[in-house]
This record gives sequence, C-alpha cells and structure tokens, in this order.
Amino acid sequence: MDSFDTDAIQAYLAGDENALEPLVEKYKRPLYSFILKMTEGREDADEIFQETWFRVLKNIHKFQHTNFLNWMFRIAHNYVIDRARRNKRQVSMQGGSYGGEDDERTLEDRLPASGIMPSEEVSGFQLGERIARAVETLSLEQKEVFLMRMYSDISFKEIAKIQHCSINTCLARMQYALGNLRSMLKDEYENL
Amino acid sequence: MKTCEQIKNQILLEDKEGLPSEVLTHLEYCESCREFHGMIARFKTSPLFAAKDEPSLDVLNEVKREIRRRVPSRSLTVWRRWRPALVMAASFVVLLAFVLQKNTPQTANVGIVLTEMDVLDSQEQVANAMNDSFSEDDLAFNFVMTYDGTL
Repeated sequence: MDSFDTDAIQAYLAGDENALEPLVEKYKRPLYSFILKMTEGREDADEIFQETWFRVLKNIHKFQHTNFLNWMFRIAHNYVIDRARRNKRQVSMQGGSYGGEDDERTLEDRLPASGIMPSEEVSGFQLGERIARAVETLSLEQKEVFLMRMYSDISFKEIAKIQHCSINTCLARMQYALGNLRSMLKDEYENL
Repeated sequence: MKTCEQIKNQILLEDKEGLPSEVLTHLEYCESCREFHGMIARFKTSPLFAAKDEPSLDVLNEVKREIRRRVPSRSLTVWRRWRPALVMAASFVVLLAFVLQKNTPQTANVGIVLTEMDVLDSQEQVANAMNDSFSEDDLAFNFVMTYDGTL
C-alpha cells in the first residue's frame, strides 16, 4: 500500500483533521471520472462522489485494504448499484415514467444512447466526445472493468471481487470492451 | 501452445515485471495479438482516456468540511486500538463466570447425593458389623428381651 495514503489515514485517525485533504485532491479525478461515466450526469455524479466519501469516513477505522483508491472504487460501485436498484423500484412504482408527472420522457428516452448516431458523426463531435459516447455504449460490466483499469492500477483479481465474478470473466469483459471500442473508434484510432 | 485468447489474457494481466517470454515470442509472429497489445498501450497512454473530470467546488468543500467535522478524537482512537483486546478480555471473563456458575452447583449436588448414600451404606455396615460380633446365644437373648409378642 502507498505509504503516503497509510500515513494520511493514520494521522487522521490520530486526530489530525487536515490529514485526509491531500487524499481528496489526489483521488478526486479518477474517482469522479469513474463515477461520472457510470452514471447519467454531473448532478448524480456529484451526489455519489460525496456519498462515497461520507461512507469512507464512516468506515475509515476499518480500512485494511492494500489500496485506498481501490477501496473507494468498491464503495462507489456498491453505492451506484444500490442507487440503481432504488431508482428501478421508483420507476416501477411510477408506472414506467422515470421522472414523475411533469416529465413525459420514458426511461428509454433517458438512458444513454445505444450507439453513435450518424447525425452526430456528420455534425462533427470532438474526438473526446466520440470516445465518451463509445464508452457509453459498452455494457455496464464491460464499462466498469474498462474504466477501473484506465483510471487506476486496480488488479483484475480486485475487480473480480468487486463484480462478484471470476477473474476470467473480468478478462473476457475487458477483451470485449477493448474490441468494441476499437471497432467503434476505427476512424479515430490513429488519432488517439 | 497457448491460444490467442490466452495470450491476450496474459497481456491484460501484464505487471511491472513485463510480459513472459512465451508471450513475447507469440507477439513476434501473431499480428492480431500484437495489435491487441498495442491497443492497450495506446488507450492507457492517450490523454483522451485520462481521468480529468472533477466534482463541483461545492461538493469538494462539503466533503472537506465533513472530513474535519468527523475527525476521530484521540480518546476514541485509543479506545478503538484497544477495543479488540478489551472485547476479548471481557468475553473471557463472562465465559469463565458462566463456566464456574454452571459447574459449582452440580458438584455440590453430587456431593450431597454421595453423602446420603454413604450414610445409608454405613448404617447397613454398622448393623452387619454388630450382628457379626454377637454370638448366637447373645442374639437369642436379645431377641427374647426385645420380643413384643408379634412376628
């Protein structure tokens, strides 16, 4: 484990109220980028980021993992899943409408697009936007494995624990994710 | 001989020590796996895949405020450090008390029962000993003297 992280956590547990701030700064981008791509927008991502940190604080005295960022990813993953389940229940209670009486859009309308629209290609999206769109089209599990690998050095063994599956399943998901992205971004591949 | 699928898995599992020699040999003649290896390197190093999104300033400040608010006090930290040992010691004491409470009355009961049996035994033994020590004439005399007319 990173000794900088360990020292910061020990100092915080010993009563130093400023000890964790460097860790917030250090990990805000990978954690937030991961959450943002696993959810539907900045508002949701902000809420999940905040809740993840609150859960970290609640359980920090129990922290025994080898990597602090991996632990936060695990907490964020669990919260995203819990939240999705809650929202699913709300959706079914609202008779199929996602956002209540005032919102006439269906859940399908609100879900991320299932592919890159031809009209979007014509309008000339920025490369970054195209990549983000391509990542959006991956299945939730493929996207999660891909993002965790991209944003941290989290091992496949660790990802397998988080996703409750075998390492081979995780490897297969990563292979599919890379293959799909490669074919979706074939025109942009050379510019990556 | 490993399949391309297995080689690709090994490429994905590449650690700081690098790829095993059999993978490197495979990459020399397999274009598909070579391209896969290059793709991972390209994705990992591309700034377009870098984590660059940040939470809003309000959220960051809220998190930092909460961190300061929830900082554990020193006494709590000491308590948490010693808690496992204290819990174990307390459990041991409770267990010991339970065992002692459970065993002590049982021992007493057994003792009492044994004592009663001992008493009964000894009464019989005394009677036998007495009878053994008297001659037949003594017993006949004793019978006559204590006979109340009923048999």
